[in-house]
Amino acid sequence: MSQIVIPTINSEYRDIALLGEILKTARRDSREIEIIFRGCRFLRSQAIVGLKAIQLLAERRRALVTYDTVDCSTVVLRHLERSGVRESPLEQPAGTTIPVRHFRNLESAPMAIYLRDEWLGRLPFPLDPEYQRSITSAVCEIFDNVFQHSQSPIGLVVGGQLFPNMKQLQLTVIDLGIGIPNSIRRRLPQYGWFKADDALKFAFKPGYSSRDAPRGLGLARLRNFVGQNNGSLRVFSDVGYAHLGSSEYFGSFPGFPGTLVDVTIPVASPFRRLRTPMEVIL
Amino acid sequence: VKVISISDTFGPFCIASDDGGKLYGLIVDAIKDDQTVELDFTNIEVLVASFLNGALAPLYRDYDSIYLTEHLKFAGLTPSFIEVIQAVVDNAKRYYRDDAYRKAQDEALRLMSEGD
Repeated sequence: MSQIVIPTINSEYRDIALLGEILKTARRDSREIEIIFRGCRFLRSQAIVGLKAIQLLAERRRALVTYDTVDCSTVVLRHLERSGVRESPLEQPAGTTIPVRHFRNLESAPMAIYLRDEWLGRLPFPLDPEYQRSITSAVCEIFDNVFQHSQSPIGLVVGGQLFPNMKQLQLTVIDLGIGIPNSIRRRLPQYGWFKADDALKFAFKPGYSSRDAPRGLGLARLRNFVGQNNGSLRVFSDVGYAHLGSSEYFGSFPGFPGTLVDVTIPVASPFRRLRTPMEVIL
Repeated sequence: VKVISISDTFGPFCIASDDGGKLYGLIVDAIKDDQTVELDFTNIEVLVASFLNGALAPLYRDYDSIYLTEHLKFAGLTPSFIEVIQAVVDNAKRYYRDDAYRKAQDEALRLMSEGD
């Protein structure tokens, strides 16, 4: 049996590094996983989505998952129940937690409806329809990339949180695949020398792809979207890390067994577009 | 003019590149007979680059820009959809018209298939 201790997990770089360690432990072959919440005062949605990924890994190898919640705050228990990661005996009000969902394959309609109804639908006011189309299309680029490149054994897990005071909506997507740097190095051996941060830079350049050309515009589009709309995008993939938004940083990371993508968008500021084309020029 | 309603054919969420490939087939069936095709994006909620790459990029392998300008029209586009379609079109043009760019990409693909 493997035991996994879950402390308080925030959303900072070091917290995602800790989550990466926890997920690596969960990947070890074991017939039973005991998840022990120890001094766990709160969990951000990155950890909630990570816990769902552990459940899916265990299900896949028919392992049993048990929870020790003796030393776990009621805030965390409520968050786990609202997200759907832990079963609740009572119907829980939605609060600011976005339900966690799992997609084993690229399922266009369920994925888009999740983003529209359960993520953006959590806002207490209607969004500008064009902004809504832009957000859902840009985020669906992440989903498409996971199924094109990651080789994740569980597909992807997604969840998030609304921060009403900060007027921000956040979404976390986790896959437990080979990671972006490894995907690029394996498919394009001429880039075998790439360090992880080089590989992430490559992945976000428009027109660059490790699959059949001409392709490679999806992540660049996401990058543009968050840059134009005061959002931010963090990618933790294998030993690489990227922070994209108004400022950009590419660097190394202690390790994540797959990829975690975090998107945060403002939901109160006006939708901005750097240029508004009127027609397509063929 | 042959009108293809994207939402009637593929639904309002256009993500999968396989669906894009089917749209490519529908476009080619029409324009090869010198017919003009109008792609109507009314009621589309999600439009992803993979879908568009599957649908539009190979057209630049098969036809030149002048022929496509005459035979391919768009309707029901929003500004964000125009942006992504333009990016896909520009990338495809560069790939199929710029020999050095295409050779570099093809070499990468050759190595990739050897890697598989």
